[in-house]
Amino acid sequence: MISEDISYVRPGTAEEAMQAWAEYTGRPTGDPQADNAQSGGAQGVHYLGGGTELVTGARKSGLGGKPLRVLIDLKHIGATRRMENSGTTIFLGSTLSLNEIGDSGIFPLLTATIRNIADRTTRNRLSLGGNIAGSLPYREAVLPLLLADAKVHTIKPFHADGRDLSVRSEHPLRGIFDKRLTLQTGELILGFSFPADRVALPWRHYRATRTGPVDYPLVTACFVAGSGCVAGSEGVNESEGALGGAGIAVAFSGLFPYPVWYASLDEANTTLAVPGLVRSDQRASAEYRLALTRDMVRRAQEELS
Amino acid sequence: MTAYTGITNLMLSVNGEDRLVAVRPGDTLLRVLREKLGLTGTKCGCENGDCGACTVLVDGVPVKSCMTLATENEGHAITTIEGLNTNPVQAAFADKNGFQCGFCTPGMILNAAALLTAHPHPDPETTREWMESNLCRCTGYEAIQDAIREAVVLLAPPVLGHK
Repeated sequence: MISEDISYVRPGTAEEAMQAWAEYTGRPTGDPQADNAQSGGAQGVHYLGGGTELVTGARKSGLGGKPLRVLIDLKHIGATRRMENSGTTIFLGSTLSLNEIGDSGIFPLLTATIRNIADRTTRNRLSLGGNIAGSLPYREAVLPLLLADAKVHTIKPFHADGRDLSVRSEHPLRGIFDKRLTLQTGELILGFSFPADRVALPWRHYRATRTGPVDYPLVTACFVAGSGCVAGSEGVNESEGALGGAGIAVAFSGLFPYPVWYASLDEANTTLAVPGLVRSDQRASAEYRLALTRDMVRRAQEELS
Repeated sequence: MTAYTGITNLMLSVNGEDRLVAVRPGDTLLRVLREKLGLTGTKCGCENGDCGACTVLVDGVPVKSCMTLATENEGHAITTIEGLNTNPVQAAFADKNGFQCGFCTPGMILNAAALLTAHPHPDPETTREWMESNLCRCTGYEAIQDAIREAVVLLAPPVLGHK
């Protein structure tokens, strides 16, 4: 059990979640500077998705040394539970469990990636938003979404004219993912959307662990081949969008202390050649991780060309 | 919007019965089942989501009860090992000695029962994927696999013969 006396809040709509956030943290203004100045009020207030990381972390040692005060459970908000393929766009809600998404087969590369995260029973609770926005550095579910040029649908609270209000936004994932999602205080992920044709592009997924299949990755690599797999994002510059028909885009987790993606293998190889960037710890040396990665790249090139 | 602070009376549906329990919002489902409802068949192992000894079914889906709050499970059907009365999976585990010390067995049986509900004839890969959620420190995996294979047979509908 969690030793602190916490409050548990279960909103039925995204707007109610914003209202709860405002109630428990103070009134956000929408002005990042002002909100950061009062972000002390937000400490200890967390959105709850699957709870696999949050409940365990709060029970064991607190969350980053800060006591937990309030959990706002998002699982009853309809938008966060939505999984839809309209034919042109796929939408995946943030509190869908990894198994709900993986078993649906809606995005084969995401299914392959998800089936290697934690164990199956844990994946019945582990949510898509939680995996991507949690504190563990691997965030493997974000890799296929980066390659699919997904958009992040969010809602954030602000206070104006004496009223609690909220505003919905769409951000290009590539634009706001810099080692981790860079969201404003109180901003809540409703889900992710991406063009439906991205799921038909040829792909490969490889994963290496130190022990068995249920382990954190030494390296996870997702590859997508074909034109159009990187073009069109607001967060991508011209050269990144110029991937040719035979190009292969790649995203890694575990290789560095944060997930990354590259529009081409050339770009990835350039970074891999920089000394000191690759993670080296008691689980694997940087040299070993690099050897695994180069083998994955070679296999992907062979299989996708 | 529902909000709980302090000690709260919570109605949980456990093994087909409505049970009223006084909980703190920070109480995990595992602790409430064991300490408030006396359902000690659900075992407390690592309490970190690794071992699977605390597995229960929530709406028929295996969940590690150490990683979920009791309040989250209000309105959902919770099944513990006590509620899996006379399930053929239990008989198969007994018949094949699919246990040694027995500590992991409730979680194993509940996960296996859910597996065979979702996949009445699971291939080895599916069985492995589901059952690797549960650890057996006695390493009695061989007999557990045998038990699941036998449970598949026990759960299969009888084949009607021709005269």
